Amino acid sequence: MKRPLRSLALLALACLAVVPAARAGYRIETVARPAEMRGGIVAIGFSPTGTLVVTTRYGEIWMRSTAGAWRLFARGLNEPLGLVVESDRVVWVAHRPELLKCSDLDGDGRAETFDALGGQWGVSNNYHEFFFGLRRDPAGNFYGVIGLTSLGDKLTLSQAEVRGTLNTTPILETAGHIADLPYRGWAVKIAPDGTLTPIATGFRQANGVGLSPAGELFLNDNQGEYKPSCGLLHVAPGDFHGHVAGLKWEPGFDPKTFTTEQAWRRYKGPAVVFPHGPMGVSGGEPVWDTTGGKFGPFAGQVFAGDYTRLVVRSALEQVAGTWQGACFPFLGRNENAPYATGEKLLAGVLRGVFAPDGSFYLGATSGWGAGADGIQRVVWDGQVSPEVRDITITETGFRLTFTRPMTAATLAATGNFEVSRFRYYYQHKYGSPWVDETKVAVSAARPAPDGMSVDLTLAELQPGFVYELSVAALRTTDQQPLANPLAYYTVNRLRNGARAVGDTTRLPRPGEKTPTAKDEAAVNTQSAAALVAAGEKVYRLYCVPCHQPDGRGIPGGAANFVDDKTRLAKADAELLKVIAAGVDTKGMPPFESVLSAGQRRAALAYIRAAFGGK
Amino acid sequence: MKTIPLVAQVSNRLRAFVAKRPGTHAQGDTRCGRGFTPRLLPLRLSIAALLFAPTAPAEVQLERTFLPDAHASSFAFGLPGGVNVCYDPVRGGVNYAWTGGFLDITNVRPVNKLVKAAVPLGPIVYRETGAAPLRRGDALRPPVVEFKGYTLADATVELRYSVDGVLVRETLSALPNGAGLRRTFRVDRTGSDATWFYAIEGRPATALTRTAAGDFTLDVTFNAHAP
Repeated sequence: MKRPLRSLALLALACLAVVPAARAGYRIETVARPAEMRGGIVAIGFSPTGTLVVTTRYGEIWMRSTAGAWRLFARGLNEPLGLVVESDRVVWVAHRPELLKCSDLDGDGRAETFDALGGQWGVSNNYHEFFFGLRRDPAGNFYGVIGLTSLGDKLTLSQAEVRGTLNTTPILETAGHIADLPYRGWAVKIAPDGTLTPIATGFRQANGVGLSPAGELFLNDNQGEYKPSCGLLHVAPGDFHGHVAGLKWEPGFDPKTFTTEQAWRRYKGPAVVFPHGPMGVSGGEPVWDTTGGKFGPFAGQVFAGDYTRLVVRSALEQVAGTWQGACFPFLGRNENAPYATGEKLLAGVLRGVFAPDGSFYLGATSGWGAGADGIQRVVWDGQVSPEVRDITITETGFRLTFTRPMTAATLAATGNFEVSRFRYYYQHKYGSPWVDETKVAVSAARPAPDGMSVDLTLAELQPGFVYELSVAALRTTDQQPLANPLAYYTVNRLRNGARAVGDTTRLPRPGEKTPTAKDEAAVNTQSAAALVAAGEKVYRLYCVPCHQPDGRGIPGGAANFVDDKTRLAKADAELLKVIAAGVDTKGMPPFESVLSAGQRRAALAYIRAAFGGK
Repeated sequence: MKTIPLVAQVSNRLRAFVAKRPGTHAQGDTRCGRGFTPRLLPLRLSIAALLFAPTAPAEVQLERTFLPDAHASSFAFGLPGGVNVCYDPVRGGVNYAWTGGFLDITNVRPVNKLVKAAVPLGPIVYRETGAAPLRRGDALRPPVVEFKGYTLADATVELRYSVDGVLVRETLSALPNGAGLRRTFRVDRTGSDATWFYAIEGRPATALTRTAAGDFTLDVTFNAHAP
């Protein structure tokens, strides 16, 4: 090559090398941790000066200066699952036995003075007795929630070994999740002088406490008995949020005459249901986007991580005095360019905080035989990815608002909006199937002239149901599909104030055939293609959280069907056995009592069709 | 099958010997545990000193966790010099002390509904049971104790709690050569008018005498079983 040409070629290569990567929307980065840090991240925050502060499940508090240097601030705490960072020298943590103020009074960079506050609740050596938090209001009051004890049928607590007075009075059926020690299952307020005020009960294991910018308390509770699904709960004094165990600590409560129907009639459901499966299985801390637009077009909305490599985005509204709204998968269900670049989202991102620069920090902790310990940072690069930004309820249906203008043609076609609704059982059994599930016809779709929103008129709109909206056919004006075309709106109230008893649940009817039995009959009459189609839904609801939409699973946990060909090389009988019985050591739950044999066959048929194998 | 080197086998056996776990105690039984043989204590302490003392850290170690023979969320403090203490904030006292290594907390990492207790890595050399031992005015009346907090220093720990509403600051430090535990109680002015007692179940109560500084000091030597 002649010298001028070679120079030009080198120049061109150099230009290529410095051309920035195309903007995608969000970039996920790994935040390096010191090798000495022990355990997963269970609380995360920033000090007023921008110091990153995290706690680990092994009882440590670490600080990272704005220059990037890590230091150990405190150690020896008992599972500090929440924090409030007052300054670079004072950190409050919620750990099992109490609220603890950790102070570095001598200024050597490490806390040496620890002051206990609160701690009027009972504690035993049961692994499940977490104390989640932590939030503080402008008056200095702290908010947290005390998890239930998980004992099973054969274990009991001994008064000699616990803090607090045992009350072993049974309340209905609780499948081993009990509140025999004071205030287990309660959300509490702790005043600056240590006075504890129980606020509301019905919580099982609310692994996420949030205060909205307006000071409203929200918790993200986990699925379980009397808990059909995870969801964002708006908590007001005197509320009952479903799990009956904590009621025994309510003044005047009479367990002898209490019935499941009474519990259901008192039940206040989530403001936003996170349907188990498509919206995760075990949610974390709700965090309000207070960045004023530094994190993209979602200012004011709520982000909550989930154990299953997912961050859920929620848009809340108050309807007739009741909080409700929509949720969307945000990160984890679609991490491919052009929507997100960089690292894969970790599984177990249960803690989050917005940094002063508007990036979103996530803390992850492993467990259940999978997940990962680590810190990630999500940065908005200025590119607005196409999303349904918001859903609000109208008199006759829903208004969908988008982050980018959509083509009028796709917005005006009612067939582009797949809408269905369902609700849950309120029952003592773990979780609930979707019941009373019905497709809902869209009778009209009226796009706004700018293509930024559309008003849908539905053939029916009822309170007490979760509405699923799937809009995969919509396109932006530059013909891009939506990054995440799935959404769920929780209708607790209609605009006219109408509300259903039990919110988005009902009691099972005596002798009612379970949906599983109904599904079994349907599956047995289907063709091979229909079996795959039925399996797609089972996969989406029950398998996606761990095995992911792309079948690539979770590193160290759920099987990767795509890249590890040995996974699906096994015979159907062997795989069906795994689906039915689970693999306890790897965190694979048994589905024998959850899915019918036909549903399990359908799921396998879909997995084989989508990801290969025999 | 993996072969364990002879040196490691000997070391493991010695560690198991010195760390022999306490058993269940009858009320008032202040011995160090089932199978405890007092005549073997000096031998255990000597072996513990050989095995653990060289690695004892220069600062106080701490775990708030599930410990044997203590309420949930008790403290394990490892003082420089290989003196370790279980402080039970629910009972309101030092439940026991051990010498040698600090604590193996592997058991506490949740694998089951009831986690197993952490394992002290050395022989239990002091133990007390019953209600909170520090009492104001009446040696026989179990007090109401409320835990307030703690402060870590280089070689000591200050525990703060109230006894019948009076704030007490108790400092724990190791006696020279790890021979015992020094406990210094500083009582808030509001409690200075009364006699203070140290009363352990099964033993005569002791009236505490003030030092010139106005504190109460209690030395617990590990070859004795009563304060």
